[in-house]
Amino acid sequence: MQKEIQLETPLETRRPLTPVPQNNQRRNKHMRTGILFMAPALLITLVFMIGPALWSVYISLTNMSLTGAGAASPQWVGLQNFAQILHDGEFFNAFRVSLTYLVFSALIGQAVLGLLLALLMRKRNRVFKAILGSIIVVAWVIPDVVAGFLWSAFLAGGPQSVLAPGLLNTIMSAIALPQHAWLQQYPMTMIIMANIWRGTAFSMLLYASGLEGIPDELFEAAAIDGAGVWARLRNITLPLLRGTIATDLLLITLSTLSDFTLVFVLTGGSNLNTELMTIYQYRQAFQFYQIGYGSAIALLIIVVGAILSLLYIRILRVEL
Amino acid sequence: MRTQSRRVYLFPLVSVLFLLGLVLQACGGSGGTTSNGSGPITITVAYQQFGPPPYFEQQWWTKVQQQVQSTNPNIKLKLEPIIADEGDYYTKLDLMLRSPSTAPDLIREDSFLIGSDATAGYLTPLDSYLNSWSDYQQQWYPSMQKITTFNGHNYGVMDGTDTRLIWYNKNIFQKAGLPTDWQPKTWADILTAANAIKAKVPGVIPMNLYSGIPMDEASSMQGFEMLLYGTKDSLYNYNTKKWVISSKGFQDALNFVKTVYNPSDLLGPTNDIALSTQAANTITQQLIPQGKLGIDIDGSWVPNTWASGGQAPWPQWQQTMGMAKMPTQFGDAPNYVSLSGGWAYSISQQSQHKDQAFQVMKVANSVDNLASYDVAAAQIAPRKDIANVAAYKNLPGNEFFTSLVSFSQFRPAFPAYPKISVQIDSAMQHVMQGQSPGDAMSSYQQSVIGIAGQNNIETHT
Repeated sequence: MQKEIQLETPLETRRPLTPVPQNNQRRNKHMRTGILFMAPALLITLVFMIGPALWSVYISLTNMSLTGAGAASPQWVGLQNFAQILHDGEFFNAFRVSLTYLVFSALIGQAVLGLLLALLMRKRNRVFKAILGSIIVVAWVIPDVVAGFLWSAFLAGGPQSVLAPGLLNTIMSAIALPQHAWLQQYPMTMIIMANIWRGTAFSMLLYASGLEGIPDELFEAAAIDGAGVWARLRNITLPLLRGTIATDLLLITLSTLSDFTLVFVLTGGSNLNTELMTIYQYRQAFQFYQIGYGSAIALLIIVVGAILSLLYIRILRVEL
Repeated sequence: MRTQSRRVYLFPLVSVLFLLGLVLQACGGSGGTTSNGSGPITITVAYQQFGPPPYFEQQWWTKVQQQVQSTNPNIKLKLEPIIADEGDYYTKLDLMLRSPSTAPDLIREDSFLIGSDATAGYLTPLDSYLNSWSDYQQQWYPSMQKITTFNGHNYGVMDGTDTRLIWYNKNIFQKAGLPTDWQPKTWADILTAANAIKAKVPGVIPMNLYSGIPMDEASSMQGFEMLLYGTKDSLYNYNTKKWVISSKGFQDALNFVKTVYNPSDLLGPTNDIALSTQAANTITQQLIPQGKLGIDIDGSWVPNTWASGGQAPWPQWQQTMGMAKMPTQFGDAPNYVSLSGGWAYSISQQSQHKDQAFQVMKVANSVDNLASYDVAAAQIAPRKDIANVAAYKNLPGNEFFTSLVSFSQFRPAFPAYPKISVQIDSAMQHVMQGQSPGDAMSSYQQSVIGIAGQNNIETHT
């Protein structure tokens, strides 16, 4: 029963669209045609996605670099790059920074706030929905670079600074609170806030569509049985949204782990306190020109993402 | 039924073939650009172009292009500006240099990358060409020939250089009761002046010393090395070929940084300015012209910003801004410090027409051509004879900047330098944020051992 209501998981995959073939010959023919139709897409995937992916696995096992010794004659170094990364304190620093950023900005910030907003928007009137919705979505629609500059303008200035204060410091001094050089004093908190502001819309939209799929009758029935808001949330909304929650966590985790631009624009990418794994990777590969080492880091980022994704699927016990 | 299925097969087949064709064509790339046979030879020159115009390299090479093509009908000169900021420029350039189909013939790069790129095999040793070019032997300052030399081979021709010095605002000095023809003799003199400004001129940042990770190479070169090179110690020991990872001088230089950025008695800019990647723009385009900065340890290129057509035109700078030499720590010989960098043109190893490329290089670097570039781009000329060109000589400051070349020093341009430079920035930022110079130096030590290897380091006590 529950499975049927769970609209997030595509039902189509379980219910074959085409009638069961009468005999093997016909099935083979269908298959051949299908493969041929898929061939162009497969070829593109092969050439532009699987090819470079395998190439980067190969590079990660060499000492290839853009300049210096490794550029003249890249050599096979086996797992040496990975061994070096695991001895590099900066990698673990970046790992810790990325996880903090992920947990606070995505899992706590975006997912919880997104769900809250989606619940608030449910059954409101159209004008309210349109206004609130568009405000939130605007943050999501503007490019990362623009969002970065908006935030650095918002947070500009500081105590004793001769530069014009940003909006936040203007407000602070207007209500007689001390000013701060926000980005320099609290870089981690600031990038987390910026990312929450930026990414909440996505989670909200996803949850809103998930909520649409829950029949009103369930809520009515529960209300008649005397269930309060909290009980309804815990016993109806959350269980029925499980698939959506898993999808959302998965997507925001992957996008937050691969986030780069927003934090790079805000911090110049060079502050150890806010050096995400992606920024660490960029610096090694393109500032120090170590392509092999950088590829190895990139692969480790993928491994981290994959492990987290599997964890979500396990914990929430869903089929995607 | 059969005809129908054949039609079905035809479409994907055609699309697969079409795609294959596309892919193959893409793989072929633009390999056909180097013309063979009797047609004119194309020489490509690559340089960085970024931000708003004017583009001095473009002006220079357009002129050279006309000269070369009118005198040599066999050579076509193709300009290939690479539009990217400095970091991305090297990435793009190095990627282009990897493949014969994309490698330009002539390339412009910062002299401190020549060692790395020569090791990578991207550059042609120019010794045989340069030995037979009497102008180069006679006119390029020995230091300008040395800066492009790596492991005994010369890989480039400098198109200009720069020096580093102290800028100070005479109006602010007057208000602080300081002499308007100021020349500090020791580090302490600089701090004394900064403290006087702090005490007597409110609303003004006493001094700027680039520091911290966001400003990257500016922090290490304009900031830290200007200090360290004025101590008894150095960054690299050329005799033993080892990096000096711990020394009294290093610690003293960090201590100077700590004094400037001590939050309870701040002489430098606040963190929102100093620890931003925009620090140099904020300082040269806003704070100095607005009279909000007393002393700035910076480069000879700064007036470029204030020239008409620059990012922040400010004609009064000549009356307002004073120039002083950076003193050594205690005023010991050689009394003053300056550091020079600058960019050079090299011929790529992949170039098919090196002789012609060198011919083009000679035309580009003639007295007249190079002088007008150096004047336009506010570069210090690497050729001695340009010093007599009126347009160059008459430029405000040029005589002073050029006088610094005689004692100016260079960075150790080895492949490990860019990474070690970041470690210097990081040590600076640590002392800015409260760490003791000793602790900052010991974490620097650990990082450099990791970068250069245990066998390539030494400590001085």
